[in-house]
Amino acid sequence: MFHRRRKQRCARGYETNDQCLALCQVAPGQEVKIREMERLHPPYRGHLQAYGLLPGRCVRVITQSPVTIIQVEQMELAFEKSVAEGILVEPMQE
Amino acid sequence: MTACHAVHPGNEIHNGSCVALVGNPNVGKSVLFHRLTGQYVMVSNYPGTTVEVSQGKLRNLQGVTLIDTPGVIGFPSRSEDEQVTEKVLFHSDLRTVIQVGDAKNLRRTLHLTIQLAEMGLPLVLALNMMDEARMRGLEIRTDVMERAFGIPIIQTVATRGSGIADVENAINAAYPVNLEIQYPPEIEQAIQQVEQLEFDSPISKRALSLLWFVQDPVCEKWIEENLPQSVQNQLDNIRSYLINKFPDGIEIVIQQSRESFIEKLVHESLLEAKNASMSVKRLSYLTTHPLWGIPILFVVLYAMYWFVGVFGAGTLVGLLEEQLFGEIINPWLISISEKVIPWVILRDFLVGDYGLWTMGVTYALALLLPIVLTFFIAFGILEDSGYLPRVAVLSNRLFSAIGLNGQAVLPMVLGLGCVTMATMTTRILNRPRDRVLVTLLLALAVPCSAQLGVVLGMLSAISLSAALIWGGVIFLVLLLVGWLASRVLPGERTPLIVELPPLRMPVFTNVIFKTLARLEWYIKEAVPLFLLGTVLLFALDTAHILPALIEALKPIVTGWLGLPAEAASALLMGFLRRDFAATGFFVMQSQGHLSNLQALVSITTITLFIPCIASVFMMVKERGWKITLGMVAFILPFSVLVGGLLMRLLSGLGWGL
Ligand SMILES: Nc1nc2c(ncn2[C@@H]2O[C@H](COP(=O)(O)OP(=O)(O)O)[C@@H](O)[C@H]2O)c(=O)[nH]1
Ligand SMILES: [Mg+2]
Repeated sequence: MFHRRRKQRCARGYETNDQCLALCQVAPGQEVKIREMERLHPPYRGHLQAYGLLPGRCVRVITQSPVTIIQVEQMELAFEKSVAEGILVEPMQE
Repeated sequence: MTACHAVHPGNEIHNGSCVALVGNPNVGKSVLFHRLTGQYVMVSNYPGTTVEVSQGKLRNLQGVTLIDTPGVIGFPSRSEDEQVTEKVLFHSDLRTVIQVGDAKNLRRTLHLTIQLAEMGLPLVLALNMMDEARMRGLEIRTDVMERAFGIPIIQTVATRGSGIADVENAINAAYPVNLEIQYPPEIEQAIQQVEQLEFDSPISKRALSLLWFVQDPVCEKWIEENLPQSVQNQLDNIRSYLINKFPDGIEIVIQQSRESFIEKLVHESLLEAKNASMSVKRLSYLTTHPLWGIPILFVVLYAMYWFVGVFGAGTLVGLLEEQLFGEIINPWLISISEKVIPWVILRDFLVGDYGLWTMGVTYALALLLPIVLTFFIAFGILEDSGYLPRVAVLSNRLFSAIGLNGQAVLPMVLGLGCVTMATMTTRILNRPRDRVLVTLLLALAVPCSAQLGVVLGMLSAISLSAALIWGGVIFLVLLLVGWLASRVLPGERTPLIVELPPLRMPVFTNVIFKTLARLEWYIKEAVPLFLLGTVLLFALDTAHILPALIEALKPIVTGWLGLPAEAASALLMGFLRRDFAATGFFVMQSQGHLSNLQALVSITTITLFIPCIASVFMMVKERGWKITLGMVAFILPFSVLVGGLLMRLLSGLGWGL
């Protein structure tokens, strides 16, 4: 379900495995749950959190190029890969 | 739920003279403002159109002013326009705050509701866009939320006017509430310490402390200006303690407490039905697709070029300038004035070469107006459709080359309409560095619609290759200067983070209103200057100063740029507005006084000139004297330098012979 190829390159030092990966590694169409955002530069983290991108939230990835676009509630949010790299997510348990 | 929060009715009476509309960006505040006051303000389908407050009288409440504010994502405020809103909350004599929220993004709306309710001001929540929420299968139980917050909550569809009467009633009935969410003990303790300090606060001390803890700039400024040093020191101590306690940031801890409150509330009050994606969503997806997005962008750009360049600058200008003014009105006025005005000088003043009517009014009304009008219509449609933020996504890579992000595309595209307006819109950019960079690029290399129309007219009279060279030079200058400036300016590039509003069908009346409002702005700003410029030229000409000035500018105009000496008078006009200069060149070209090479060099130089006096004033207002002077001192010689270099290069290559 994930872009295996991209996996190592874009996790920005996070320990990633099948249970836990960076947002930029998630394939379009998948729903994931935000786990942590500690690695994100604080101002950007604050900006995204103001939009409601908080640990525990479920988001759906719409596309990964040209930038990452995700859906939070009914809102679409676009940001660069360098931002997506700093967000750690986990797959939704069905 | 009572375990983790409390609602206390406040007991102060608020009978201030203002009601403020506050809410996230792009949720319908301005539409609601129109509904409640009958007064139109700019409405667009992208975040950040309202960058200043607008005020109007409430229809149903004598003597009460309604304030429309720029959208806020949340506090602490992050950009200048958010600070404008926060200052309204801190400094106005408020009677009620109406929060406008997007019903389909309930969690996001409620995060702001919490912050406003904590402030202890009388609050009403208008849950707007209920139509879109229902279409997506969302059902909201407002009674549950009303009880949790202790405030009236009204479902509205501002565009159709439903729920407005209830909002009007609620404004009167609203009373102050003090929502208290339970934060972690360390934070609660710190809040208590602040509450024990002796001072008067415009919002509840609880809200003030929370803003202080997260280093909100408006709150910090208020404290610095209003509280004695001893209290400030104590506040500093309380905050430093917390910062040590939560090295990962206090904001996230506070946000999490709010989030869990909201999560419970939403669980009880929001019913979500899963439904299939719609065709609009598919189109929305295509517009940002790396492959399909580009052709769609080109189709949009071409349609815009056709409407503004071909229809506006070609057909409409032809009808007005050549036929109506050139063949009917002006000959008639000239013949009349020859009969009734005995003084040659007055006749020249009105209908001569530099006549107030024959030059000033004719150019302003017949040449510029149709172009500006068509541009603003096209831009209004684009704005309302929600397409512009998608262009930001597509152009992000290009802008990252010049140290910006795709969000800069918004002011840049608006700059194609009016650079002055666009300079004001740079407020939506989050960082001072980005605002300075975009202001510079706007002033240097983005031609406004008035000028663009004239320039395109001149280019089409030369050849396609001329148009390509002109476009190429401007584009290169944009990239080069942007690249250099982004390296010189301190600070690093901010990555793109942007909200994509849903694609919507533009509302006809809204587009017309916006066009008229912008046109009025433009006419008030440009036409008087145009007339003033004409009078100045006339005065210089009659007093025979013009020849002397032309003589003085000769080394530059003829020597360096290789233009005929009379081009100096056009260039002089360029100090007022660069499109006047372009218009002057246009006339010279159509009278056969400019060769193709000279025409190309002259319009390239003038495109890179200072936009207009009004834009310089706006730059001073937004960026300050020093930066503005620096930019002007760079732009003037630079534009002439590029013009001369281009002339040498092209004549060396034998172009245009
Ligand atoms: N479907 C729908 N659209 C709305 C409603 N209210 C506003 N809009 C649209 O939402 C967009 C943003 O409105 P605006 O008033 O400029 O939002 P503001 O940024 O909060 O001032 C515009 O395109 C409006 O036409 C509503 O109740 N339903
Ligand atoms: Mg608005």
